[in-house]
Amino acid sequence: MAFIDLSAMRSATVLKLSLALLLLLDMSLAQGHGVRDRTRAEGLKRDTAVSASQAVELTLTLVEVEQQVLQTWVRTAATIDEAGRVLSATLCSDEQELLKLGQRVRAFPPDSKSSIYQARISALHAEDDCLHVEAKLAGKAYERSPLYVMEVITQRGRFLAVPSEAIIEEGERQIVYVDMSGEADAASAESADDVTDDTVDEKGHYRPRQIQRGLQGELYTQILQGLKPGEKVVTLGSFFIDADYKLKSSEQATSNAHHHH
Amino acid sequence: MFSHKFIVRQLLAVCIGLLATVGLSAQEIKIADPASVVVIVNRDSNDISFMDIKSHKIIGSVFLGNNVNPHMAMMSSDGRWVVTGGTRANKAYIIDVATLTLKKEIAVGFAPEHLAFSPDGRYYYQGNPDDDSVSVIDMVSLTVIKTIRGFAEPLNITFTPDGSKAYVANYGSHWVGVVDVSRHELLKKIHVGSAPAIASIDPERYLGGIKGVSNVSISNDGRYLYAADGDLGIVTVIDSREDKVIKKIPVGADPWRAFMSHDGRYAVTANNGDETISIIDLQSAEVVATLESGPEMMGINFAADKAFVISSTTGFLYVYDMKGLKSAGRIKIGEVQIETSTTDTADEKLYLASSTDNSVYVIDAKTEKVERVANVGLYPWGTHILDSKDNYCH
Repeated sequence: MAFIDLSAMRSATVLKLSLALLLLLDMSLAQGHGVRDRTRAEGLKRDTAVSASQAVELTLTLVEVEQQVLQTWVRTAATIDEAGRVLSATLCSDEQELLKLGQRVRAFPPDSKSSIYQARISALHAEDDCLHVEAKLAGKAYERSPLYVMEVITQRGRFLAVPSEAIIEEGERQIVYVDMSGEADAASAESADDVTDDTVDEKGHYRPRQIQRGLQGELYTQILQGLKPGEKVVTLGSFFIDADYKLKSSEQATSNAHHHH
Repeated sequence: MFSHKFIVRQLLAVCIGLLATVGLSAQEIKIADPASVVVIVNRDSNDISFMDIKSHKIIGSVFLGNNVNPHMAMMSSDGRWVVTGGTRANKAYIIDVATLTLKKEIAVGFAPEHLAFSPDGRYYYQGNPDDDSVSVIDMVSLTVIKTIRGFAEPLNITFTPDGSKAYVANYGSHWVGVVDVSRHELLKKIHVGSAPAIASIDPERYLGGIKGVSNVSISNDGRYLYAADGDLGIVTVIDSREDKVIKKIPVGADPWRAFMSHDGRYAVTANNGDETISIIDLQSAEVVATLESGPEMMGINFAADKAFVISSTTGFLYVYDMKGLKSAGRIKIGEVQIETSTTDTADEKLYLASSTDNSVYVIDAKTEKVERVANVGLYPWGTHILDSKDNYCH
């Protein structure tokens, strides 16, 4: 019993110490955030610069924000009839609302996409909360696979959109990097002390911007807020731009913090 | 919950979107269903025309520019784009299918000819044989994002079904280039065979004008690749998992390429050196039949359990029974030069480009009835149908 009491006391002590440590840690974190917030407000870089040679190295690619046709490809597993002509599937997701008679279907056995078959939706029947779909192949399927992957190509309309890969997820927020070429000279002048020699003379400044997205299509995502037609966003290479921006921001924050103290 | 301004902005955005959609559909949509057309490459009128599959009427054509000479065309899997390389213009052309408008011209390497889309439609690889390079075009930004160098007269390009690798056939050499699609870099050269010892005695023939690999054909399961080599008279089988040669199959003289039957059972080579075809059983990887054919074979199509071999300069289609593996006669198209053909997705009809009479011939594979569609453009060089299993070029 004495051993048990001792153990309980030790546990209680450990618990108290842990709580105290957590409180201290929380306070120091809060203080840390405060310092960072103050330094960020004063001096964080507002954009990141990439030289022409770096852009080539990164295969940095920009896309103009414009109206795009959005497609959603509804994918599901299907069985095939003995004649190798009709695919059948049951769809229970929200995407069932997108399906209509006559829509174009691409079908292939799951183990290879090498042999694509064309088909059309030939029948749709509601079954409880699901939808039974039949698609008739244009020709006979040669593969003796019991299952096929069915891709139904649905058109969602034209929307202001950017390529989906341009959008960087940051928790609940979505960010894109916008090309600030028009403001490159000013930005270069502002940041001339901070960047290497080969970047100051180059256009190619990119600034993060929060956007609000709408429909997500196969290649493109609808933009509800945050971008205007004609603006250019980074697609290929956005990850590197984001990393560079955050790294430089962090370095600058540290530098500013040292400067203040 | 939402501010007044926010709601007004949202309503405005919806209205603008609706207006844009209505405006576009009323004004510009010419092809609503990309699977309903045959794409025709007209070399000398420098345009791409679009023919309705059912009515055989030309819906419209897209002029590319003077002295462009398009060589091959292909539609992206989403049906949004048709792309082509202009051999004399050193440019790639991107056509919007719905509106039949030229969306963009993109400078590429010298003399672009053959091309391919990655399976997801994201990248368009344009081969530039006179530049020994492949231009990589990003289909989202419609820009060249990389030029892959180090090839030897690159012709056709074949992607693996998962899109991870592309195999580039080098007609100016005896190797196949393996490209890492994630980085667009030439990873490896697979030598399909060595130049014969006679090369040292007759270097002009074997090293001067090399007839190497024009195409890498892929099995239906994506596992094996078949590379015919003109000089070596072989079809080399490559295992795509390890990118290693596993067999060399002797065929007739100067095989142009291996054409794959749709059922995945056979590869057929058009041997222009001895005017034969070799039928390879893909299960045993052995030649199971060698049959007489015609000169200047440009392509082979499959439909209705038959193979149709295009003998360009004679104007004949040589027909073979693919069940009995025997000759089944020939079809006289006319006193014309016929080029290449595509097969519809039902495997019922062939759409054959006939350059010298500016026509496309529609051949019913079952009945062998031929219908001429005249005035499709000048010097039609090739045809293409979305998701056809016989989309190829010279």
